[in-house]
Amino acid sequence: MARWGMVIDLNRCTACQGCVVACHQENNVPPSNAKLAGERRSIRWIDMMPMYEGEYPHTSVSLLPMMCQHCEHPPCIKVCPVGATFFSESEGIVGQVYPRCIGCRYCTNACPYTVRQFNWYEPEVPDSYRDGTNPDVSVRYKGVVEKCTFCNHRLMEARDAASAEGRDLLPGEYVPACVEACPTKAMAFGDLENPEAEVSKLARSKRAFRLMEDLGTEPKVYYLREGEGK
Amino acid sequence: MLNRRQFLLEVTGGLMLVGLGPLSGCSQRTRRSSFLLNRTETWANSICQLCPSGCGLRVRLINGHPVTVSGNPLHPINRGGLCARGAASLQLYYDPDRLAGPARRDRSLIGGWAPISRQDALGEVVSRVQQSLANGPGRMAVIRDDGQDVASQLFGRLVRAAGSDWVVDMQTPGERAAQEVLRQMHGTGGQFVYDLAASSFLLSLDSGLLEPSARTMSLQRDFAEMRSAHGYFVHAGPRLGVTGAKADAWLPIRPSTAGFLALGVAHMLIKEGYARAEFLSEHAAGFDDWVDEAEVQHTGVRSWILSEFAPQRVAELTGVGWDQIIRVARQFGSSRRPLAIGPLDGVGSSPTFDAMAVHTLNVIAGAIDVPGGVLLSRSAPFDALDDASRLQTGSGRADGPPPTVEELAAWVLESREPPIDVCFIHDADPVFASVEGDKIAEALRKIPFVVSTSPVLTDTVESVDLVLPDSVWLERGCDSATVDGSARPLFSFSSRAAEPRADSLNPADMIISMAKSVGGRMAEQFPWRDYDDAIKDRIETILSSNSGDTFSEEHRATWAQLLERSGWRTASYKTVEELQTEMRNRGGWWDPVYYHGEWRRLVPRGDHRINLQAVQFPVKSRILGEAEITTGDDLVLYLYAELALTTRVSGSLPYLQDIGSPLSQTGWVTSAEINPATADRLGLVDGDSVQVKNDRGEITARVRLSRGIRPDVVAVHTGGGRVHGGRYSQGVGANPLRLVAAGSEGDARRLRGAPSVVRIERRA
Repeated sequence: MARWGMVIDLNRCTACQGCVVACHQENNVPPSNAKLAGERRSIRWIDMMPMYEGEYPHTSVSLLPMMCQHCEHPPCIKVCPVGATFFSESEGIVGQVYPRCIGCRYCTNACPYTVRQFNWYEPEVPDSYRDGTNPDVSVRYKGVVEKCTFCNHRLMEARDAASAEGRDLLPGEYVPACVEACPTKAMAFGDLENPEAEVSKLARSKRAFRLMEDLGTEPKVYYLREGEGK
Repeated sequence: MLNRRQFLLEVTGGLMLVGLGPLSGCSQRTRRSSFLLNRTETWANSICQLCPSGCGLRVRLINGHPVTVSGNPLHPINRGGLCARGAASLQLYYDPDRLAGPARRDRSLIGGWAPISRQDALGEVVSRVQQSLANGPGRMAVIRDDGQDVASQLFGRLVRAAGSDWVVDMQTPGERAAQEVLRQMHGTGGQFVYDLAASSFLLSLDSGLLEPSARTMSLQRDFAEMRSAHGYFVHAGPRLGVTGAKADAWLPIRPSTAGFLALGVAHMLIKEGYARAEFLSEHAAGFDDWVDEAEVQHTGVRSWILSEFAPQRVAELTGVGWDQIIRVARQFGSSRRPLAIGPLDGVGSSPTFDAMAVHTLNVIAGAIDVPGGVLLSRSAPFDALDDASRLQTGSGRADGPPPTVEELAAWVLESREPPIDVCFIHDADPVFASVEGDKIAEALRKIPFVVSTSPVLTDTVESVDLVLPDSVWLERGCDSATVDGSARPLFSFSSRAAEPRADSLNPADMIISMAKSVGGRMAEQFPWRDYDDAIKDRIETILSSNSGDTFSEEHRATWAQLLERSGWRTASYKTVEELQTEMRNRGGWWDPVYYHGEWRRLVPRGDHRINLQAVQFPVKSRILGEAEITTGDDLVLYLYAELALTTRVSGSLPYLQDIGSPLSQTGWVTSAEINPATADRLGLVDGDSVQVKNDRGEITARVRLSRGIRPDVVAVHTGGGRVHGGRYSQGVGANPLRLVAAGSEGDARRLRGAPSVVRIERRA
């Protein structure tokens, strides 16, 4: 039993959005266009969320990288009528089975973090991009919901490689694309159940908080508060 | 026909499969396919060339096709990380609108271009160059990005060999201003590097620190280190922006007043005894008043700052409270390792004055060439290839700072006959990126023969005669000579990672082969067989310097630093071949040590003291403020850069177009950011489509309301509004440079320029 989770240090995050684009590239997120962006229907598995405080000139703003929080008690699962979204008891990851999704969007409404994305249109992918498709991740189509999977195809690859060598998965062998790309090492990832793991120690620090904890969803994405001056 | 037992077995089995499916993960189908597909996975090193940082890349290829890209963990610049630009770089390789091969301008055809064979194209270039050399000296020019890679330097070499100084680098106003400071105050060249990681108090003076077009990765990584070590950060600028969002405090100063605030802080340092007197007496000239040999009294910078930049005066100039200025100055002065950074890109400022003022503040605070201060890049053990023995002399311009593309255009347009015959454009889009884009396009059309190496259609390509598309960096050997965040030199190098997807060529090979075809003494200037031979030559120089090491893990690099400081080396290579192989496998070579206190390097001339006199001039330029805004509807235009949109080919990368600004959450559109109070006054709401206009032109933008901007300002980002391009770039957004007067914000030469004042109207 593992509980894969993430800690994002807002002191180190510079909102460069390297994580956003690395996620797009890894997970075959189709390119957007002006029409989709205008309708706010671009697909983004991870996004920067600005949170303003104060009035001018005493304004401050925090920028939070937002992705599926992989809740321990995910509200999205309870409302899915077809079992297209599921919770992996062995990994703690909230997954999505695209062929089962009927596009009812109950899950997108139930998610308090508004991180589930619906394909309103058939993705427009130029032919020249097809050679660059990551074969580890299935492409999606019009009418289905998609979201961050913690790059669990990487978990399967890493686990296969470990089992081929007859050993357990080692810390650091499985990291999502966003964590790997982060230039400032603001993101840590690992098994929250392992008390010795860095991610576990960071999640217990005084600066750690989770979004909307009062809802009882128990997200597995933690944030570390910014400096004293914020 | 199923019987009841079979039916129940089938249904139960099906339900079990449905139930178990999720537990094995959501990519069951792809997981199985990874075993079934006959695929070969390989990895290759490459170098990102979307900004001058030159980050190391690891490219994952499936059956020879690049599918993902990640950072090279051994590369000292990015240590495995990637910014948004690097992560999106594969989209240039797969760009559906890349130019398929060489093309010649033919306006009689639909589209205006005719395909031409590579051989014919090169033949035409050779013939034009020969003709130009026959016409006389100095009749060639090159406009290029930054001159950090071998191909760019070979272009410069060709032009200089032809007796011309028109080797034009497309630097930002901020970069030019930094060079001007180095030239005037240090009497040398190179690059300023900010040791953010070791700084304890960082004062950003409209720096755009986290949204720069260059040195992105070093700044981001060092910023994170500084924050983790509890460094305090104050940002001053008209707009909060991403940089302000990550700051502990924000001072909303008026546009183009960062230099005044720097001198206001300097005033308080001097007045309250925070100025580092010992440092100033040893390393600065012109701080105190002095009498020259003719017994003439001169006013030093100290007296000038004390008389002109009292907090009350600076508060009037900048629009922030005098009490805030005093508080920040005291924090800055009492900090163990203070550091001030001025506008890095300088798209919305008065770059030269600001840069000089900020550098003066750092000198007064003793923050030069110390840990946590301003460092000056160390030289690499090899020379740039730009310099060539001139075959002919006479360039058409006097000695001085490096030429700008605006100066080149003015010279061409002022001349009755075209003063140059051939112009090369490599890795640059000056028609789009300059405030004088229209004039540059006109000048290019006047030059008889202009060649571009752009792999995609751009605004500049529309004004050239021949396109010889450059291979994108995955498709060819590439290199980058730069410095890291601690001013240490490094040279990245990689071989081809993937097969070319267009009829493109390595521009370095093109130049070498062309020079050989021109023959005679021009050919002698290019002694290399091809690009690989030129790289090998450089690697031989590195080996013979007996310094540095190939890239390595951080702990090994630290060990190498310790050894080198003690005069030892542990390099694992002995021959050029061994070094080249290691560089190819690891990503490159670097010298991992920075030596502090080399004042002969920092200020080579005279008594090796920084000349503070350069910053003095009367404060009588126009000061931007409410007093100058004639009616209530006028706003000051403040331009800023968005990290995702600062590269020359951002428009071809839809991932970058889409992420746009993390603060306004918009992509594919140009935002006009205003304060809600301003919107109320003008009767506008968030999302309105508006015209931003002045007497120079108008652009269409989308209103974005923000509490993080001054009410007298409208902020518009650069990077949009390409007139020509592919499906993802053409007509996306608007180019606000068209609203800026030539010779104001975009011109580093002028100390201060007139502000751009605009009016906003809702579109009908």
